[in-house]
Amino acid sequence: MNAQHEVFEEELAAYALGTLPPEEAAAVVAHLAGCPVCRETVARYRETATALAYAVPLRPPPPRLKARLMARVRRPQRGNWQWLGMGAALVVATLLLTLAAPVIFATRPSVAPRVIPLQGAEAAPDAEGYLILEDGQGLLVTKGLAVPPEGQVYQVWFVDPAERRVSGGTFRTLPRPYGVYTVTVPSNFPLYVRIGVTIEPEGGSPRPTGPQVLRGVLR
Amino acid sequence: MGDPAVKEPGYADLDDAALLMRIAGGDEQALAALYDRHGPRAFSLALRILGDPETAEEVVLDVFWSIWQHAGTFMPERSRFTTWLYAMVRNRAIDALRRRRVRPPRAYEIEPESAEAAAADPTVEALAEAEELSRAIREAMAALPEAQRQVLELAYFRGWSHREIAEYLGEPLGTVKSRLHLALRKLHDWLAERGLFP
Repeated sequence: MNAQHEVFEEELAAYALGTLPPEEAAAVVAHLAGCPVCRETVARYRETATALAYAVPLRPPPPRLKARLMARVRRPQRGNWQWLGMGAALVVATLLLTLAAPVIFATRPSVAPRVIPLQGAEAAPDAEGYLILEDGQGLLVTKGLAVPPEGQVYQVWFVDPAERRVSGGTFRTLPRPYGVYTVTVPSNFPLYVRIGVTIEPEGGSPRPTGPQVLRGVLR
Repeated sequence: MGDPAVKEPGYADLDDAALLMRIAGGDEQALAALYDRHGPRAFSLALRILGDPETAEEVVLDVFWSIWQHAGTFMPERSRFTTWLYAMVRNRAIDALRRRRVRPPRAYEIEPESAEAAAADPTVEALAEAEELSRAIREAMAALPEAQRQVLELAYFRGWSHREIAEYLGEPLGTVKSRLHLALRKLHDWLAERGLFP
């Protein structure tokens, strides 16, 4: 290990623990991109930091924690869209088929769910999708959205005529051709005129900060 | 099957990566098994950081919910699950700490080996490994010079930056950085000598 790496190790230890301020952390990240030796060092320090979790005295969690987790998991979620009602479920199935094949189905069930087509925006020109709305609940069906980089997520935005934006939630895609994600629709939905999806840091942002991948017109 | 006290049979022999694969496929029992194995320690870490069991509960619920949703993105060849898990718990607990301004607990005191078996119930092998690691890390912490241990605790359990630690202790920034580095390196070497990693 040469002298440069020795001196730098203090920064790496701090980076592994998360104690560096953003500018210094950014400098470390830039260095790591080109330095496998230092990446290895950071990985080892991270593992060491993990060991500190074992230094803590064990306290049993309340039994309701597991019960709450399992209850949440068992509620109908992404992939299981019976909660939307038969009409929307048929629409979703139709749309997935539509996205899979260039043939547009001539007949569509005439149902209450509203379907809004979305087009790829500058950060994902080949992506496409649909927002499906029924009874104040929303589903986003996407095609061609890559898995976001580590530490980032997609975030849905509803935009009003004054360009104010409200978040419809975040999601991460899996490496599959299509995805279906739940969207939180704002209660004053008729106010909004456009919808967009951007790339944001994990956990989401209060306002869009990243590039846009999908967009659509609501009214 | 909804009884929270019942342990998931059959899954205890699968390692974390195997459980995660099943979770990615929507297997709820695999998630329950993963929670049985790691939940208590995750809760204990959150509690140590926050000092408040209600918030600790929310953090752990949030983390395991994320695991449920993102299990498919975990790559076992790049990292251990426990590294990922405890990093998530620590990060979210520190976020919650900052948001709620919960008063952090007093300085960590090294506890004698207690009856940990009551809290966790993984496979016999995994339990022995966890106990061994717990013992080793506590010995390692006790062996650190007080000044180094203090800096490490402030960084890890409170999530403070160098600047915040230096201000709190009234020490120069460079001193804090070097103590942190020395502490982490000593812990690493101690664990490596004993062939132990989380």
